Amino acid sequence: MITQQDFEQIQDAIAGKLSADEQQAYNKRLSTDSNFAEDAFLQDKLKNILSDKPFDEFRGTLMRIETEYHYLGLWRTTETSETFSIEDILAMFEPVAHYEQALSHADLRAAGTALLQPQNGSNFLPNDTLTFAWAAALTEPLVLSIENNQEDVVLQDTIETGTVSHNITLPNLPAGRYYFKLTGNNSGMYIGMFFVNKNLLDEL
Amino acid sequence: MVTLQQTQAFMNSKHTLNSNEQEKNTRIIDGFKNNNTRIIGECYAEMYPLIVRYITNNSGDETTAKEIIWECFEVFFKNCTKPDFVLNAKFSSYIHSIANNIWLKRLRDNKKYTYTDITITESSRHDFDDDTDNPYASDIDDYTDQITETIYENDLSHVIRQLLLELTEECKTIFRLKHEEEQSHEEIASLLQISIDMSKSRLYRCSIKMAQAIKNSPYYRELIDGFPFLTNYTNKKRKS
Repeated sequence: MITQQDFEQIQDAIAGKLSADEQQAYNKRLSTDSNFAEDAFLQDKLKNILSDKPFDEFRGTLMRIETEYHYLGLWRTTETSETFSIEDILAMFEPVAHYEQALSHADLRAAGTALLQPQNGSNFLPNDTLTFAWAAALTEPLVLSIENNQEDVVLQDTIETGTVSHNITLPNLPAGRYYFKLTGNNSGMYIGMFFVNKNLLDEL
Repeated sequence: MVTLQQTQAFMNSKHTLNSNEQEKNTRIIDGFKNNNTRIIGECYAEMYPLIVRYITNNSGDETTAKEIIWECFEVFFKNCTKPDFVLNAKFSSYIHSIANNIWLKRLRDNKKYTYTDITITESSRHDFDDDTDNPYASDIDDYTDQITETIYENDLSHVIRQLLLELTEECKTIFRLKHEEEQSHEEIASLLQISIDMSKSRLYRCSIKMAQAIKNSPYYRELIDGFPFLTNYTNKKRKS
């Protein structure tokens, strides 16, 4: 076992604090004293491992990627579609504050009748059929507008007076949080929310 | 004496990457150096199925393949962050070479096979060289020593990292303050409300304890017996 003095000399050598003469003597001892050389090697290695922050960060990234690849199915189709990190997914499902506020206004009703379907927070897959159903026939035409959480309109449609149920086929939408607006001249605007591929968010 | 034919054969075996391959390598190396999640993720997705096929074709299973790709990426990271690193082979060929070396080493370490029993099937190697226009794209023999050294270094790091987890809180704290945060003994003494001598003595005791634990590890002994760590270390120190 090395003495504390030897240990401190090794620490100084690793830190480059030895004078030229001391360094020469140190190197000579490394070559002639294999036990001392092994201790110096191990202390150097230990310091390198403990101070290697970039490598620790890289391991953290690799661990996240491994989880995303094996458990979330991400990164798999890099050539044909976009890939998403956890940050990407959180951004895609981020709520729009003022729309979320409107969701809680239960007294809003489009065209004089209550909307039964879709329920807020329903989950769909791209290309699914989305059914709008009301408790009674609409008393005026409504404009349906679907927006992503960047408030970009991704689909628009018109629903005629007298409709009780109306189907639309969702386009090939990316996963995320979406809002639909039903607007009529007399009945104002109803806002609802649904998800596409919510499983991505749930598995985070 | 080297004949003209031998020289010609040697020259022919050297592959020059085309500009797309060079660009791809630069992007990947920069991505690893800068810890770019997207680039590393894309590389993982590209390499994982190939590594799985390679390992399962050579008597391994998918769980092992998962460990091996992790180690391959660690080795690649360590090499590509070295200042003099140049990659003149395709990334996939380089990763294949690392995987091949790691797998051979594992087989030897497990002692399930003797060295001469080990035969790696080369059929799955072609998976890594998808560009038929570049028949020499997998010529990475120049990197063998570098890869072997880093694999052993990385294995030793794993042994040390594992043993670090078993240290007392007192030792973990002094290591963190001294090595990670690079604080002086004066600063450590003030922070921990101990004397400077006590700080020095604690670092000494913990370091010795750690060194002893490493030396007592059977895998460390195997590594030291299998690779000239100490000779390389003393030679390097002498040169510097």
